[in-house]
Amino acid sequence: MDIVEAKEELEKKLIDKEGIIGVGANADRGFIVVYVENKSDCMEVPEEFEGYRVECVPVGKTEFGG
Amino acid sequence: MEKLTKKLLELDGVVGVGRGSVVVYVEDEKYANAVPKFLSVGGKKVRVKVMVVGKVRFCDMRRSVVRPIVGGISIGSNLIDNAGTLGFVDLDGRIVTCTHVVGFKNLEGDFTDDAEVLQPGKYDGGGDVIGSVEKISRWVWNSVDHPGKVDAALCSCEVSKYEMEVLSGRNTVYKLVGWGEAGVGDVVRKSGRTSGVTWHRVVDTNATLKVHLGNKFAVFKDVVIVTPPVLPGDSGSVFDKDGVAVGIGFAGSSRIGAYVKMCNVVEEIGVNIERVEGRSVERKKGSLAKGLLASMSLFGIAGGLYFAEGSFNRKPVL
Repeated sequence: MDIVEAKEELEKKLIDKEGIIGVGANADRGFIVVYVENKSDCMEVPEEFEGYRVECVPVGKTEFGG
Repeated sequence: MEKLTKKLLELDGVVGVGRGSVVVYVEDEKYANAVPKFLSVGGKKVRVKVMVVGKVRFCDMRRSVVRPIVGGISIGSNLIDNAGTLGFVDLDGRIVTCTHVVGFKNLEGDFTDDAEVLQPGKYDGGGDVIGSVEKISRWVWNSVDHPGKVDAALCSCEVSKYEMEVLSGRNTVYKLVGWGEAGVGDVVRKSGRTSGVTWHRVVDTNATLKVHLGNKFAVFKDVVIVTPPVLPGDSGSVFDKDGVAVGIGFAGSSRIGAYVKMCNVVEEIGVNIERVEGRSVERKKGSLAKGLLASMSLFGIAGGLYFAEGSFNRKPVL
């Protein structure tokens, strides 16, 4: 599974969970990023998925910008 | 008279002095008593009129009436009390902005393509109709199975305009030369109704993001994340790198901003803008999380972002 497929898979598992804001990936460096609302939401995020490191980044609640 | 003017302007609350007859403009009625009722001008006794005019501020051009229209100024829908940003006018003379700026019939986010476009938007006092909505992108609310890719709208324009130009300073503009892409680590620029011209660092170019509107949310795929964040009212701003339009700002949190990619905007709503070959940017290597932290430090954001690497309780695998 390449990193884009892994990111898509992880996204399917996490995106409907409360506090999960988004999922991204850095293909060059080979890791996945999960954006969460608060630090405590990182409990839902694995450290590794399908062999790829997963970083958890609290960013607050995202809203339409006006 | 010059001396008198200087003296009067030194008084607390005096914001101006008129000539002809003597008129003194004050911020509040409470300052009126400090102004003399008569003055001696050239040996003659002259009555002084006092007018209460409030505090005088510099005019905020982006939220005022601007003609010809140009990217980076306030626009909104005639149907709701809002204001966002006019991104730019394309090569066909049509306005590009966000669906959520001109394509909602109410604050609950029900779509319409029947709205007229006001400049400035109602929230900024409301101006004349400058055009009407022609095409909007739509998405499904509260569904993770039907993500959108674009929050963008195309509108006709019935007033004078500067095509492919964006407001920079008070009387200066910069030109968009076409569309392309930015890579992780690149610095991009935007010109918005709220925060003017600002620079941001790209930290993710293929993110899926859940964006909220009240109790609703929508999921967008293939969006770009930047720091520092964009502000409310900046939605619709065009992001560019060296004049190459890379996306339209549409969402953000207290820590990040997000734009939809110009390639998706062009494909979904049919903006007429030329593809700039060879200007898309080489992707720089580096940790995304480090990039976030570095850019926050670069742009002087207090606090800083947290990121994993053992900082929090995490599941080892899912």
